[in-house]
Amino acid sequence: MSSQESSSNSELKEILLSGRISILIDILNGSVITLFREVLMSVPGVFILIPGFIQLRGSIYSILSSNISSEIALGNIKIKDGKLSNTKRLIKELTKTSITSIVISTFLGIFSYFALLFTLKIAYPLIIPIAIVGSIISSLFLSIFMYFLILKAIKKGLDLDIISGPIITSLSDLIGTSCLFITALLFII
Amino acid sequence: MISKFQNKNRIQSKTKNYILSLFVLLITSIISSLGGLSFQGIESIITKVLPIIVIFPSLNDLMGNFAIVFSSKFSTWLYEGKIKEKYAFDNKEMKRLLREISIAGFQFSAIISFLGIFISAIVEHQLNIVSSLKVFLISVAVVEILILFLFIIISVLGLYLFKKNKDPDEILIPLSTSLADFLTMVYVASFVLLLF
Repeated sequence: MSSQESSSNSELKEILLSGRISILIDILNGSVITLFREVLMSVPGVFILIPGFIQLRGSIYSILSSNISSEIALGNIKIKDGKLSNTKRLIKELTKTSITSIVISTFLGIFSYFALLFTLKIAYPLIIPIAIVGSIISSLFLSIFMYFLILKAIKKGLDLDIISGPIITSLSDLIGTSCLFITALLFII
Repeated sequence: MISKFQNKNRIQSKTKNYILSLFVLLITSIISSLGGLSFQGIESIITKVLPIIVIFPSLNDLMGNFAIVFSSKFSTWLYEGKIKEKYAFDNKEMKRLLREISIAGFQFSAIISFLGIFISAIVEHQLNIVSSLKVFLISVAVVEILILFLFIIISVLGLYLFKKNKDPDEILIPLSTSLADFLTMVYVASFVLLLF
């Protein structure tokens, strides 16, 4: 087998592995939603907020993981004994991502409020703070998860670009949804 | 002085890029949220069909991944000159890709629906055969219809962008993934209303 074929097979294996893990995490996410289905019924606007909220997290954390992967490839972030050397740069990237996430989530909350008001004539302003607080909590958890996932992938010698994309999007779905539901629950108790 | 000027330009360019990506992220998130509107009116029905809630994130993710594969492959083949026909659907490579993705879509949607039915049976302590069959049908139908729909949209839009000398990758990927999210929700909601 040529080295090109073996590299292609290894890539395929990683793609299939990350695809399977991604489906399992997604199913887990669906199970989390079923556990919180009362929130879906009692908080108007959550159905509108969730898809955008999830899409946003998937996109920005995929961009972040791709950026970090490029920084590692360029040598701007080095790994020594399984640890990232330039943590300042990583923390800066994580902070930027979290701020972006919170800013856009605020707009999404406002959008959900008006969409609900114009389509179903329901005024529910609480959906805006739910979006903001949910975003802050999920950004915190996701940043920590991202850090350890990247370290794990590096230690195992996996291609960060292939492995982290699908897993990060699915994990961000799971963490984002859970945080949003817990926040909504706290607001309605 | 020159370095100061260059530095200022670099910062301006970085800020411009950041604002542009903020805008794209906001628009794609809003498109996804628009799909949620189709669920908002029928939440009482949706929340009663537990397997649909369980499988929904997987279906959404699956369609997003297929949209990325279609878009990036289509763009690559356009640049390589493999797609020259007036309509991309006549292209051999695209037909093969459509066939492969349709088969993978069927396999994945079947696995996803079985997992969803299984988990719901555990949560609810009961298994309704008719309802399970409907969930399986919805899962497969939504995936297969959307694959065909995305294939047509991406082909037409990709060719149009390429003819206008614009990079199809930059527009096709974010647009097709958020369109996939939006349409998955609309199709699932429509099928649930029709069958339940």
